[in-house]
Amino acid sequence: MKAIILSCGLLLGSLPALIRADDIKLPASLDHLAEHATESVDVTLDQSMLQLASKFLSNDDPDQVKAKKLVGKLKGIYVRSFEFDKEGQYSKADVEAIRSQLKSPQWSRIVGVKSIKGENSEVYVQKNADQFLGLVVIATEPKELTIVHIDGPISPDELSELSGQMGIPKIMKDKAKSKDSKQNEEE
Amino acid sequence: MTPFEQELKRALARQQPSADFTERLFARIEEEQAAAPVRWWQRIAQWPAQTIWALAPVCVLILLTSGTMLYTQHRRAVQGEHAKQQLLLALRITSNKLQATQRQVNEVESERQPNQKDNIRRLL
Amino acid sequence: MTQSAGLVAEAILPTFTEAVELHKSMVFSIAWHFLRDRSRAEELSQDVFLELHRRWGSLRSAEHLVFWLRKVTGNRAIDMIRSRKVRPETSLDAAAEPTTLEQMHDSLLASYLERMVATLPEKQRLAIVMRYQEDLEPDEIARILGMNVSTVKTNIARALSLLQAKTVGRLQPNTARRLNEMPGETGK
Repeated sequence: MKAIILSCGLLLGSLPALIRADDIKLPASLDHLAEHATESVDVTLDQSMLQLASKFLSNDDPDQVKAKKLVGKLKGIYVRSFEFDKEGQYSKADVEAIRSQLKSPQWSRIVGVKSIKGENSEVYVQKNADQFLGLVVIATEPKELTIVHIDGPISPDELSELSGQMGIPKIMKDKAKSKDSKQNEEE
Repeated sequence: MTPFEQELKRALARQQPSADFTERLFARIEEEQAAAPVRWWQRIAQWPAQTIWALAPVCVLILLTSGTMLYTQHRRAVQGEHAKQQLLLALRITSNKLQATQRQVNEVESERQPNQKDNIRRLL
Repeated sequence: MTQSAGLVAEAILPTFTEAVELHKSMVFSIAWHFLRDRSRAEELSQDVFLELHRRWGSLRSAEHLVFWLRKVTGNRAIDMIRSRKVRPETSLDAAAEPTTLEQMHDSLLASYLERMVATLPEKQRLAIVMRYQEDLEPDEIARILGMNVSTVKTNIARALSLLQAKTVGRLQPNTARRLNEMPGETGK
Protein backbone atom coordinates (compact mmCIF):
# COMPACT_ATOMS: atom_id res chain seq x y z
CA MET A 1 0.00 0.00 0.00
CA LYS A 2 2.82 2.30 0.98
CA ALA A 3 4.49 1.56 -2.33
CA ILE A 4 1.37 2.56 -4.23
CA ILE A 5 1.07 5.81 -2.33
CA LEU A 6 4.76 6.49 -2.90
CA SER A 7 4.41 5.79 -6.61
CA CYS A 8 1.40 8.07 -6.85
CA GLY A 9 3.28 10.74 -4.99
CA LEU A 10 6.25 10.48 -7.31
CA LEU A 11 3.99 10.55 -10.34
CA LEU A 12 2.15 13.61 -9.11
CA GLY A 13 5.43 15.26 -8.20
CA SER A 14 6.85 14.71 -11.65
CA LEU A 15 3.65 15.81 -13.43
CA PRO A 16 4.54 19.50 -13.71
CA ALA A 17 7.93 18.52 -15.08
CA LEU A 18 6.30 16.35 -17.70
CA ILE A 19 3.82 19.01 -18.64
CA ARG A 20 6.54 21.62 -19.00
CA ALA A 21 9.00 19.32 -20.76
CA ASP A 22 8.93 21.55 -23.84
CA ASP A 23 9.88 24.66 -21.84
CA ILE A 24 12.86 26.58 -23.11
CA LYS A 25 15.30 27.69 -20.46
CA LEU A 26 17.57 30.59 -21.20
CA PRO A 27 20.90 29.35 -19.80
CA ALA A 28 22.38 31.05 -16.76
CA SER A 29 25.62 31.51 -18.70
CA LEU A 30 23.87 34.27 -20.67
CA ASP A 31 23.60 36.36 -17.53
CA HIS A 32 27.39 36.47 -17.24
CA LEU A 33 27.61 38.01 -20.71
CA ALA A 34 26.04 41.19 -19.35
CA GLU A 35 29.29 41.86 -17.46
CA HIS A 36 31.22 42.23 -20.74
CA ALA A 37 28.42 43.86 -22.73
CA THR A 38 28.28 47.58 -23.49
CA GLU A 39 24.51 47.29 -23.62
CA SER A 40 22.31 44.51 -22.39
CA VAL A 41 18.58 43.89 -22.17
CA ASP A 42 17.07 41.33 -19.84
CA VAL A 43 13.30 41.01 -20.05
CA THR A 44 11.62 38.26 -18.07
CA LEU A 45 7.86 38.47 -18.04
CA ASP A 46 5.98 35.43 -16.81
CA GLN A 47 2.22 35.03 -17.15
CA SER A 48 1.37 37.05 -14.04
CA MET A 49 3.68 39.90 -15.05
CA LEU A 50 2.25 39.87 -18.56
CA GLN A 51 -1.25 40.12 -17.12
CA LEU A 52 -0.13 42.99 -14.92
CA ALA A 53 1.58 44.76 -17.83
CA SER A 54 -1.49 44.20 -19.96
CA LYS A 55 -3.62 46.11 -17.40
CA PHE A 56 -1.37 49.13 -17.84
CA LEU A 57 -1.50 49.14 -21.62
CA SER A 58 -3.54 52.01 -22.98
CA ASN A 59 -6.89 51.40 -24.63
CA ASP A 60 -6.45 54.52 -26.74
CA ASP A 61 -3.12 53.75 -28.35
CA PRO A 62 -3.68 51.31 -31.27
CA ASP A 63 -0.19 49.77 -30.79
CA GLN A 64 -0.91 49.03 -27.18
CA VAL A 65 -4.39 47.69 -27.94
CA LYS A 66 -2.83 45.19 -30.32
CA ALA A 67 -0.10 44.34 -27.85
CA LYS A 68 -2.75 43.74 -25.20
CA LYS A 69 -4.61 41.36 -27.46
CA LEU A 70 -1.40 39.50 -28.30
CA VAL A 71 -0.10 39.05 -24.76
CA GLY A 72 -3.48 38.06 -23.33
CA LYS A 73 -2.92 34.36 -24.03
CA LEU A 74 0.86 34.23 -23.61
CA LYS A 75 2.60 32.39 -20.80
CA GLY A 76 5.77 34.41 -20.93
CA ILE A 77 8.10 36.62 -22.89
CA TYR A 78 11.86 36.36 -22.32
CA VAL A 79 14.47 38.48 -24.06
CA ARG A 80 18.23 38.54 -23.64
CA SER A 81 20.14 40.95 -25.85
CA PHE A 82 23.79 41.93 -25.57
CA GLU A 83 25.94 44.36 -27.51
CA PHE A 84 29.71 44.17 -27.14
CA ASP A 85 32.47 46.59 -28.07
CA LYS A 86 34.62 43.82 -29.56
CA GLU A 87 34.13 40.44 -31.15
CA GLY A 88 34.37 37.08 -29.43
CA GLN A 89 32.72 38.07 -26.20
CA TYR A 90 30.23 35.25 -26.37
CA SER A 91 30.88 31.65 -27.28
CA LYS A 92 29.17 29.17 -29.57
CA ALA A 93 28.40 27.16 -26.47
CA ASP A 94 26.22 30.01 -25.19
CA VAL A 95 24.07 29.81 -28.32
CA GLU A 96 24.24 26.02 -28.50
CA ALA A 97 22.74 25.79 -25.03
CA ILE A 98 19.55 27.25 -26.49
CA ARG A 99 19.71 25.54 -29.83
CA SER A 100 19.99 22.10 -28.23
CA GLN A 101 16.67 22.66 -26.44
CA LEU A 102 15.02 23.41 -29.77
CA LYS A 103 15.95 20.05 -31.27
CA SER A 104 12.93 18.39 -29.69
CA PRO A 105 10.16 17.27 -32.11
CA GLN A 106 7.81 20.00 -30.96
CA TRP A 107 10.08 22.67 -32.36
CA SER A 108 10.77 23.46 -36.00
CA ARG A 109 13.31 25.82 -37.44
CA ILE A 110 11.40 27.77 -40.05
CA VAL A 111 14.16 30.23 -40.98
CA GLY A 112 17.89 30.01 -40.78
CA VAL A 113 20.02 32.64 -42.49
CA LYS A 114 23.80 32.97 -42.43
CA SER A 115 25.65 35.89 -43.95
CA ILE A 116 29.31 36.35 -44.80
CA LYS A 117 29.44 39.25 -42.39
CA GLY A 118 28.51 36.87 -39.62
CA GLU A 119 24.98 38.15 -39.19
CA ASN A 120 22.99 34.99 -38.56
CA SER A 121 19.33 34.57 -37.76
CA GLU A 122 17.29 31.58 -36.81
CA VAL A 123 13.57 31.43 -36.15
CA TYR A 124 12.05 28.45 -34.41
CA VAL A 125 8.38 27.79 -33.75
CA GLN A 126 6.53 25.29 -31.69
CA LYS A 127 3.53 24.33 -33.78
CA ASN A 128 0.15 22.85 -33.11
CA ALA A 129 -2.26 22.72 -36.08
CA ASP A 130 -2.50 26.26 -37.41
CA GLN A 131 -1.26 27.94 -34.28
CA PHE A 132 2.16 28.59 -32.88
CA LEU A 133 2.62 27.59 -29.28
CA GLY A 134 5.94 29.31 -28.98
CA LEU A 135 8.52 31.28 -30.86
CA VAL A 136 12.27 31.56 -30.46
CA VAL A 137 14.48 33.95 -32.36
CA ILE A 138 18.25 33.63 -32.18
CA ALA A 139 20.06 36.53 -33.83
CA THR A 140 23.82 36.61 -33.71
CA GLU A 141 26.33 39.11 -35.00
CA PRO A 142 30.02 39.27 -34.22
CA LYS A 143 29.38 41.92 -31.58
CA GLU A 144 25.77 41.20 -30.79
CA LEU A 145 23.65 38.36 -29.47
CA THR A 146 19.88 38.41 -29.12
CA ILE A 147 17.61 35.63 -27.97
CA VAL A 148 13.85 36.04 -27.86
CA HIS A 149 11.50 33.45 -26.48
CA ILE A 150 7.75 34.01 -26.70
CA ASP A 151 6.01 31.27 -24.76
CA GLY A 152 2.34 30.72 -25.55
CA PRO A 153 -0.14 30.62 -28.37
CA ILE A 154 0.29 33.22 -31.08
CA SER A 155 -1.53 32.97 -34.35
CA PRO A 156 0.34 34.04 -37.46
CA ASP A 157 -2.43 36.59 -38.01
CA GLU A 158 -1.79 38.20 -34.65
CA LEU A 159 1.88 38.49 -35.41
CA SER A 160 1.06 39.88 -38.78
CA GLU A 161 -1.32 42.46 -37.27
CA LEU A 162 1.52 43.95 -35.35
CA SER A 163 3.63 44.35 -38.47
CA GLY A 164 2.46 47.89 -39.16
CA GLN A 165 3.02 49.23 -35.68
CA MET A 166 5.51 47.04 -33.93
CA GLY A 167 7.36 46.34 -37.14
CA ILE A 168 6.86 42.60 -36.93
CA PRO A 169 7.08 41.51 -40.56
CA LYS A 170 4.80 39.13 -42.35
CA ILE A 171 7.60 36.63 -42.50
CA MET A 172 5.98 34.52 -39.84
CA LYS A 173 2.75 34.22 -41.72
CA ASP A 174 4.45 33.53 -45.05
CA LYS A 175 6.87 31.04 -43.61
CA ALA A 176 4.17 29.30 -41.68
CA LYS A 177 2.22 28.84 -44.87
CA SER A 178 5.33 27.60 -46.64
CA LYS A 179 5.98 25.17 -43.84
CA ASP A 180 2.40 23.98 -43.97
CA SER A 181 2.60 23.41 -47.70
CA LYS A 182 5.92 21.63 -47.25
CA GLN A 183 4.40 19.36 -44.64
CA ASN A 184 1.40 18.78 -46.84
CA GLU A 185 3.65 17.86 -49.73
CA GLU A 186 5.57 15.41 -47.53
CA GLU A 187 2.34 13.85 -46.36
CA MET B 1 -2.84 117.79 30.73
CA THR B 2 -4.48 121.13 29.84
CA PRO B 3 -7.79 122.20 31.34
CA PHE B 4 -9.40 121.53 27.98
CA GLU B 5 -8.02 117.99 27.97
CA GLN B 6 -9.29 117.53 31.49
CA GLU B 7 -12.74 118.63 30.35
CA LEU B 8 -12.48 116.17 27.48
CA LYS B 9 -11.50 113.40 29.85
CA ARG B 10 -14.51 114.23 32.02
CA ALA B 11 -16.76 114.23 28.95
CA LEU B 12 -15.43 110.89 27.81
CA ALA B 13 -15.77 109.13 31.14
CA ARG B 14 -16.84 105.51 30.95
CA GLN B 15 -20.52 104.77 31.05
CA GLN B 16 -22.45 101.66 31.93
CA PRO B 17 -24.49 99.83 29.33
CA SER B 18 -28.09 98.95 30.05
CA ALA B 19 -28.79 96.94 33.17
CA ASP B 20 -29.77 93.80 31.31
CA PHE B 21 -26.65 93.89 29.14
CA THR B 22 -25.04 90.80 30.71
CA GLU B 23 -28.30 88.89 30.83
CA ARG B 24 -28.95 89.54 27.14
CA LEU B 25 -25.38 88.64 26.26
CA PHE B 26 -25.59 85.23 27.95
CA ALA B 27 -28.96 84.60 26.35
CA ARG B 28 -27.35 85.21 22.95
CA ILE B 29 -24.44 82.93 23.80
CA GLU B 30 -26.83 80.14 24.78
CA GLU B 31 -28.83 80.71 21.64
CA GLU B 32 -25.70 80.55 19.52
CA GLN B 33 -24.50 77.36 21.20
CA ALA B 34 -27.88 75.70 20.71
CA ALA B 35 -27.96 76.67 17.05
CA ALA B 36 -24.39 75.60 16.33
CA PRO B 37 -24.29 72.18 14.68
CA VAL B 38 -22.43 69.61 16.73
CA ARG B 39 -19.45 68.45 14.71
CA TRP B 40 -18.60 64.75 14.43
CA TRP B 41 -15.46 65.13 16.51
CA GLN B 42 -17.45 66.94 19.19
CA ARG B 43 -19.85 63.99 19.32
CA ILE B 44 -16.94 61.58 19.61
CA ALA B 45 -15.42 63.72 22.33
CA GLN B 46 -18.64 63.23 24.30
CA TRP B 47 -18.35 59.44 24.19
CA PRO B 48 -17.26 57.72 27.36
CA ALA B 49 -13.51 57.22 27.63
CA GLN B 50 -14.00 53.44 27.79
CA THR B 51 -15.72 53.41 24.41
CA ILE B 52 -12.99 55.54 22.89
CA TRP B 53 -10.26 53.24 24.26
CA ALA B 54 -12.17 50.20 23.07
CA LEU B 55 -12.38 51.64 19.57
CA ALA B 56 -8.75 52.75 19.47
CA PRO B 57 -7.36 49.36 18.32
CA VAL B 58 -10.02 49.19 15.61
CA CYS B 59 -9.00 52.65 14.40
CA VAL B 60 -5.34 51.64 14.43
CA LEU B 61 -6.22 48.49 12.48
CA ILE B 62 -8.21 50.48 9.93
CA LEU B 63 -5.35 52.93 9.54
CA LEU B 64 -2.80 50.14 9.16
CA THR B 65 -4.97 48.23 6.70
CA SER B 66 -5.72 51.26 4.57
CA GLY B 67 -2.05 52.30 4.72
CA THR B 68 -0.94 48.84 3.62
CA MET B 69 -3.55 48.81 0.86
CA LEU B 70 -2.43 52.18 -0.41
CA TYR B 71 1.21 51.09 -0.33
CA THR B 72 0.37 47.84 -2.13
CA GLN B 73 -1.60 49.72 -4.76
CA HIS B 74 1.28 52.12 -5.27
CA ARG B 75 3.78 49.24 -5.53
CA ARG B 76 1.49 47.42 -7.94
CA ALA B 77 1.22 50.54 -10.10
CA VAL B 78 5.01 50.93 -10.21
CA GLN B 79 5.47 47.23 -11.02
CA GLY B 80 2.74 47.38 -13.66
CA GLU B 81 4.25 50.39 -15.39
CA HIS B 82 7.69 48.72 -15.31
CA ALA B 83 6.23 45.48 -16.71
CA LYS B 84 4.49 47.43 -19.48
CA GLN B 85 7.75 49.12 -20.48
CA GLN B 86 9.52 45.74 -20.44
CA LEU B 87 6.79 44.23 -22.59
CA LEU B 88 6.92 47.02 -25.16
CA LEU B 89 10.71 46.76 -25.24
CA ALA B 90 10.53 42.98 -25.74
CA LEU B 91 8.04 43.36 -28.58
CA ARG B 92 10.18 46.02 -30.21
CA ILE B 93 13.32 43.85 -30.06
CA THR B 94 11.39 40.84 -31.39
CA SER B 95 10.03 42.90 -34.23
CA ASN B 96 13.45 44.34 -35.11
CA LYS B 97 15.05 40.93 -35.20
CA LEU B 98 12.29 39.44 -37.32
CA GLN B 99 12.56 42.35 -39.75
CA ALA B 100 16.31 41.87 -39.99
CA THR B 101 15.75 38.19 -40.65
CA GLN B 102 13.24 39.01 -43.37
CA ARG B 103 15.72 41.41 -44.97
CA GLN B 104 18.42 38.76 -44.94
CA VAL B 105 16.08 36.20 -46.46
CA ASN B 106 15.14 38.65 -49.20
CA GLU B 107 18.79 39.36 -49.94
CA VAL B 108 19.62 35.67 -50.16
CA GLU B 109 16.62 34.98 -52.36
CA SER B 110 17.41 37.79 -54.79
CA GLU B 111 20.93 36.38 -55.30
CA ARG B 112 19.64 32.92 -56.25
CA GLN B 113 18.27 31.74 -59.58
CA PRO B 114 14.50 31.46 -59.76
CA ASN B 115 14.59 27.67 -59.72
CA GLN B 116 16.85 27.74 -56.67
CA LYS B 117 14.40 30.14 -55.03
CA ASP B 118 11.66 27.65 -55.62
CA ASN B 119 13.78 25.00 -53.96
CA ILE B 120 14.28 27.19 -50.92
CA ARG B 121 10.60 27.94 -50.77
CA ARG B 122 9.86 24.26 -51.04
CA LEU B 123 12.39 23.50 -48.39
CA LEU B 124 10.94 26.15 -46.06
CA MET C 1 4.32 81.60 48.92
CA THR C 2 3.09 85.16 48.78
CA GLN C 3 2.53 87.34 45.81
CA SER C 4 1.45 90.93 45.64
CA ALA C 5 -2.18 91.42 44.73
CA GLY C 6 -1.19 93.65 41.81
CA LEU C 7 0.95 90.96 40.19
CA VAL C 8 -1.75 88.31 40.58
CA ALA C 9 -4.41 90.63 39.14
CA GLU C 10 -2.25 91.33 36.07
CA ALA C 11 -1.27 87.77 35.39
CA ILE C 12 -4.45 85.79 35.86
CA LEU C 13 -7.11 85.74 33.18
CA PRO C 14 -10.53 86.15 34.76
CA THR C 15 -13.41 83.86 33.93
CA PHE C 16 -15.57 84.89 30.99
CA THR C 17 -18.38 86.06 33.28
CA GLU C 18 -15.92 88.14 35.32
CA ALA C 19 -14.46 89.55 32.14
CA VAL C 20 -17.90 90.70 31.00
CA GLU C 21 -18.58 92.39 34.34
CA LEU C 22 -15.13 93.96 34.47
CA HIS C 23 -14.99 95.29 30.95
CA LYS C 24 -18.52 95.85 29.70
CA SER C 25 -18.42 99.54 30.58
CA MET C 26 -15.09 99.97 28.77
CA VAL C 27 -16.33 98.25 25.62
CA PHE C 28 -19.70 99.99 25.70
CA SER C 29 -18.13 103.42 26.29
CA ILE C 30 -15.68 103.08 23.40
CA ALA C 31 -18.61 102.15 21.16
CA TRP C 32 -20.86 104.87 22.59
CA HIS C 33 -18.30 107.67 22.31
CA PHE C 34 -17.47 106.58 18.81
CA LEU C 35 -20.99 106.02 17.49
CA ARG C 36 -23.12 108.31 19.69
CA ASP C 37 -25.96 105.85 19.24
CA ARG C 38 -26.92 103.91 22.32
CA SER C 39 -28.66 100.98 20.65
CA ARG C 40 -25.86 100.52 18.12
CA ALA C 41 -23.25 100.86 20.85
CA GLU C 42 -25.01 98.11 22.83
CA GLU C 43 -25.34 95.91 19.76
CA LEU C 44 -21.66 96.36 18.96
CA SER C 45 -20.64 95.64 22.57
CA GLN C 46 -22.72 92.47 22.59
CA ASP C 47 -21.09 91.36 19.33
CA VAL C 48 -17.64 92.01 20.76
CA PHE C 49 -18.35 89.87 23.84
CA LEU C 50 -19.90 87.12 21.70
CA GLU C 51 -16.73 87.06 19.63
CA LEU C 52 -14.71 87.04 22.84
CA HIS C 53 -16.68 84.00 23.99
CA ARG C 54 -15.86 82.19 20.75
CA ARG C 55 -12.18 83.04 21.02
CA TRP C 56 -11.85 82.71 24.76
CA GLY C 57 -9.42 79.80 24.47
CA SER C 58 -6.89 81.89 22.57
CA LEU C 59 -6.50 84.56 25.23
CA ARG C 60 -3.35 84.40 27.29
CA SER C 61 -3.62 86.95 30.09
CA ALA C 62 -5.66 89.76 31.59
CA GLU C 63 -3.57 92.30 29.65
CA HIS C 64 -4.12 90.42 26.45
CA LEU C 65 -7.85 90.38 27.17
CA VAL C 66 -8.03 94.17 27.60
CA PHE C 67 -5.86 94.79 24.56
CA TRP C 68 -8.04 92.44 22.49
CA LEU C 69 -11.27 94.08 23.66
CA ARG C 70 -10.06 97.61 22.86
CA LYS C 71 -8.70 96.61 19.46
CA VAL C 72 -11.75 94.63 18.39
CA THR C 73 -14.18 97.25 19.66
CA GLY C 74 -12.31 99.97 17.78
CA ASN C 75 -12.16 97.97 14.56
CA ARG C 76 -15.80 96.95 14.75
CA ALA C 77 -16.87 100.52 15.44
CA ILE C 78 -15.06 101.70 12.31
CA ASP C 79 -16.56 98.77 10.34
CA MET C 80 -20.04 99.66 11.56
CA ILE C 81 -19.63 103.28 10.55
CA ARG C 82 -18.40 102.28 7.11
CA SER C 83 -20.85 99.47 6.40
CA ARG C 84 -24.01 101.14 7.67
CA LYS C 85 -23.02 104.61 6.56
CA VAL C 86 -23.67 105.77 10.11
CA ARG C 87 -22.94 109.44 10.24
CA PRO C 88 -22.88 111.67 13.30
CA GLU C 89 -26.03 113.68 13.77
CA THR C 90 -24.10 116.95 13.81
CA SER C 91 -21.05 117.68 11.73
CA LEU C 92 -18.24 119.56 13.33
CA ASP C 93 -18.28 122.25 10.69
CA ALA C 94 -22.02 122.77 10.84
CA ALA C 95 -21.92 122.97 14.61
CA ALA C 96 -19.21 125.61 14.39
CA GLU C 97 -21.24 128.02 12.34
CA PRO C 98 -21.12 131.37 14.25
CA THR C 99 -24.77 132.09 13.52
CA THR C 100 -25.89 129.01 15.48
CA LEU C 101 -23.75 129.72 18.47
CA GLU C 102 -25.30 129.99 21.85
CA GLN C 103 -23.71 130.74 25.11
CA MET C 104 -23.14 127.43 26.82
CA HIS C 105 -23.39 126.69 30.47
CA ASP C 106 -20.50 124.75 32.04
CA SER C 107 -22.75 121.83 32.89
CA LEU C 108 -23.53 121.35 29.23
CA LEU C 109 -19.87 121.41 28.24
CA ALA C 110 -19.25 117.69 28.80
CA SER C 111 -22.28 116.71 26.78
CA TYR C 112 -21.29 119.12 24.03
CA LEU C 113 -17.72 117.82 23.92
CA GLU C 114 -19.01 114.27 23.80
CA ARG C 115 -21.12 115.12 20.77
CA MET C 116 -18.26 116.97 19.12
CA VAL C 117 -15.91 114.00 19.55
CA ALA C 118 -18.41 111.85 17.65
CA THR C 119 -18.10 114.21 14.68
CA LEU C 120 -14.34 113.83 14.30
CA PRO C 121 -12.86 111.75 11.46
CA GLU C 122 -12.74 108.02 12.34
CA LYS C 123 -9.07 107.65 13.20
CA GLN C 124 -8.92 110.92 15.14
CA ARG C 125 -12.09 110.01 17.01
CA LEU C 126 -10.79 106.61 17.99
CA ALA C 127 -7.45 108.06 19.06
CA ILE C 128 -9.20 110.68 21.20
CA VAL C 129 -11.48 108.07 22.80
CA MET C 130 -8.51 105.83 23.61
CA ARG C 131 -6.49 108.74 24.90
CA TYR C 132 -9.10 110.45 27.13
CA GLN C 133 -11.58 107.70 27.91
CA GLU C 134 -9.05 104.91 28.39
CA ASP C 135 -6.23 107.21 29.49
CA LEU C 136 -3.76 105.45 27.20
CA GLU C 137 -0.38 106.75 26.09
CA PRO C 138 0.17 107.33 22.34
CA ASP C 139 2.38 104.23 22.02
CA GLU C 140 -0.33 102.02 23.51
CA ILE C 141 -2.92 103.58 21.19
CA ALA C 142 -0.57 103.02 18.27
CA ARG C 143 -0.38 99.30 19.11
CA ILE C 144 -4.14 98.96 19.41
CA LEU C 145 -4.92 100.88 16.23
CA GLY C 146 -2.00 99.48 14.28
CA MET C 147 -0.53 102.91 13.56
CA ASN C 148 2.78 104.72 14.00
CA VAL C 149 3.15 106.56 17.30
CA SER C 150 3.79 109.78 15.38
CA THR C 151 0.56 109.33 13.40
CA VAL C 152 -1.34 108.82 16.63
CA LYS C 153 0.18 111.95 18.12
CA THR C 154 -0.66 113.94 15.00
CA ASN C 155 -4.24 112.63 15.02
CA ILE C 156 -4.71 113.55 18.67
CA ALA C 157 -3.17 117.01 18.21
CA ARG C 158 -5.35 117.80 15.19
CA ALA C 159 -8.47 116.51 16.88
CA LEU C 160 -7.77 118.56 20.02
CA SER C 161 -7.09 121.66 18.00
CA LEU C 162 -10.36 121.26 16.09
CA LEU C 163 -12.39 120.53 19.21
CA GLN C 164 -10.85 123.41 21.12
CA ALA C 165 -11.41 125.89 18.32
CA LYS C 166 -15.05 124.92 17.93
CA THR C 167 -15.80 124.72 21.63
CA VAL C 168 -14.19 127.78 23.18
CA GLY C 169 -16.25 130.25 21.15
CA ARG C 170 -19.44 128.75 22.55
CA LEU C 171 -18.46 129.03 26.17
CA GLN C 172 -19.17 131.65 28.74
CA PRO C 173 -16.20 134.06 28.90
CA ASN C 174 -14.99 132.77 32.25
CA THR C 175 -15.04 129.17 31.17
CA ALA C 176 -13.40 130.00 27.87
CA ARG C 177 -10.66 131.87 29.66
CA ARG C 178 -10.11 128.97 32.02
CA LEU C 179 -9.89 126.46 29.19
CA ASN C 180 -7.47 128.65 27.26
CA GLU C 181 -5.13 129.00 30.19
CA MET C 182 -2.78 126.19 29.16
CA PRO C 183 -2.87 125.66 25.42
CA GLY C 184 -0.51 123.15 23.75
CA GLU C 185 0.71 120.15 25.75
CA THR C 186 -1.67 118.02 23.83
CA GLY C 187 -1.60 114.36 23.01
CA LYS C 188 1.57 113.56 24.89
